[in-house]
Amino acid sequence: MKRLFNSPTKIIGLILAVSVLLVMPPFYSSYWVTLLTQMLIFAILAMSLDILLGYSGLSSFGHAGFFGVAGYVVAILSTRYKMGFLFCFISGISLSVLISLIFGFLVAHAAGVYFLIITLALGMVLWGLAFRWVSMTGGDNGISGIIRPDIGLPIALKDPLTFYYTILVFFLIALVLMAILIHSPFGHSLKGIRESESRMRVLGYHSWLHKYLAYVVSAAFAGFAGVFWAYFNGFISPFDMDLNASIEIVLMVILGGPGTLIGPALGAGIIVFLKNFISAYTQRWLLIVGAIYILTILYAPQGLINLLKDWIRARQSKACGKAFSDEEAQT
Amino acid sequence: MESEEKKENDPCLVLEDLSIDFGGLRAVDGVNLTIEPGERRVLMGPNGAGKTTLFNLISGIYPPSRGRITYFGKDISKYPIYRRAALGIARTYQVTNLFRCLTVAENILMACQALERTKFVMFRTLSSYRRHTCRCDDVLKEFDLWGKRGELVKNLSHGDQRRIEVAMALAEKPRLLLLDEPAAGLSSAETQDLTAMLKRLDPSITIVLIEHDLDVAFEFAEKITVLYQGKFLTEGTKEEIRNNPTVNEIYLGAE
Repeated sequence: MKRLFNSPTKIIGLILAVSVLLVMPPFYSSYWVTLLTQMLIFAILAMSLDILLGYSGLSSFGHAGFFGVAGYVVAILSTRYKMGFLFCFISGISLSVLISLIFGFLVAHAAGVYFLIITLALGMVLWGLAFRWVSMTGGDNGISGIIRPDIGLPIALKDPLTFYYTILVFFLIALVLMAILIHSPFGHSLKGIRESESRMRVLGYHSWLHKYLAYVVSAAFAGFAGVFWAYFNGFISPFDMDLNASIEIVLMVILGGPGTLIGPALGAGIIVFLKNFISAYTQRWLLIVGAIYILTILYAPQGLINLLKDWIRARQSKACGKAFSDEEAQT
Repeated sequence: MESEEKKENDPCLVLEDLSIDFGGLRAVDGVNLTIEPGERRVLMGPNGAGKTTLFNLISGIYPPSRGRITYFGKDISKYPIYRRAALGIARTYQVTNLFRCLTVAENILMACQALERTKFVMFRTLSSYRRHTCRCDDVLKEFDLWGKRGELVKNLSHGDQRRIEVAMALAEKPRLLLLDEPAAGLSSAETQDLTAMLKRLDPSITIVLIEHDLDVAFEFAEKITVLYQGKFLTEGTKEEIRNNPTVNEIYLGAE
């Protein structure tokens, strides 16, 4: 907790976040509230990928698959079987976890570009299922008519604002859980695998098992986001889990700053905003995605949040240096 | 009771007819070696003699093509790397292999929790494990790294990085320590510091050291083993090795 308040920049950031996310929403138009809800859901998704990409150094290009699986579970259970929220929530995440438990055996041996290709292929398998298993998923028509749940509170989730605040609560839960995870002994070991897997093995880590568990945990959080996406959108289709969707999540993480939690959340916010903003003017969203990708790699390879950190640090050390030389001048 | 007694009498490490082939190349060829508990042993030999490959075989990075590795009376030839580490075999690398983008303290902590079950704990912070953080602090102070604990390893000097290599291996409280040229690339002053530190280590730890620097080697070890082209060449005390004509010829260069 202490670390949250140990620098003025962090306090300013926190005040900004609280006001934008907590205090101000009642004053936004419903368009903005909806957009903000979408940002939060994708922020959870981007953070979940960051467990793999940023902390373990494993670039997964099939992450939207787990997001979509959970979304489909919610869609099918709630429209066809009229199941309640809790059941859908648990089943959605469970199926994502179950699939990752199986896929994990295929991916955890790989590293680097091989990991990327295998996860990409497995993501496509899930997408293919959604697309082709028409009797279950409705093919490319998707499943519509997912009704926002009655979670037993005296509030109506149909209202964008109350739905927004509900998502905010779940976002914070996910954020806190993931923050503890990355500061845990297990999270620490993932950073070690990112830095030097050979050293980790020699130290006595069963690195395969750690990568496997990271993959599963990451899929669980992606499923967590997927559940809320289905409820938010009221509609799910194979396009929510295709390759473009996976690449967009990777971009959110890279743009925001891999290896931090706030970075990917910020990246998700920016990408969701741009996507909505730009699609009002053009159909060529992918062109913009490509451009952002290239600009990020060229000018902010560490991501925006790290760019910001470096800038602040540079300013501080400059200020320190100045103070020091002033002192020196006096003596 | 009997088995325990037996365990104490067993040598720390026995290599029997140990060989490994890489394609057509036999990098280690029928090496036999016995190292007693608490022994200090130096491995010497020119480049390509198979010293580092031998370390890779002992620590489990490669499975041997032939032969047996016995550790305190237990055949570990088929054990995976992490199980050998759990039995107390630690090593360092000739080419520095650290977690470059983590701080010094984080590097040491990684070693402190490596052999504990707690490394799988996901929902409790690492800093709340006093046992690990205390051990880490001790190691940092012991290796004179306390002042640099918050710095990223990649920003440190080569000398500091070499010290962290050794510190990380020792943080695990090993019974057998394999040091692969710990003084590689160090200045003579740094090498002296390192040698002094190695001599201070707990005498119950068995240490095998690969070293090219003859002064360090002769100062450190009671017994020296010389490898040449993957084969065991000779073994002996400092004087025997110094006066061995074959060793002089292949190692120091024939005149």
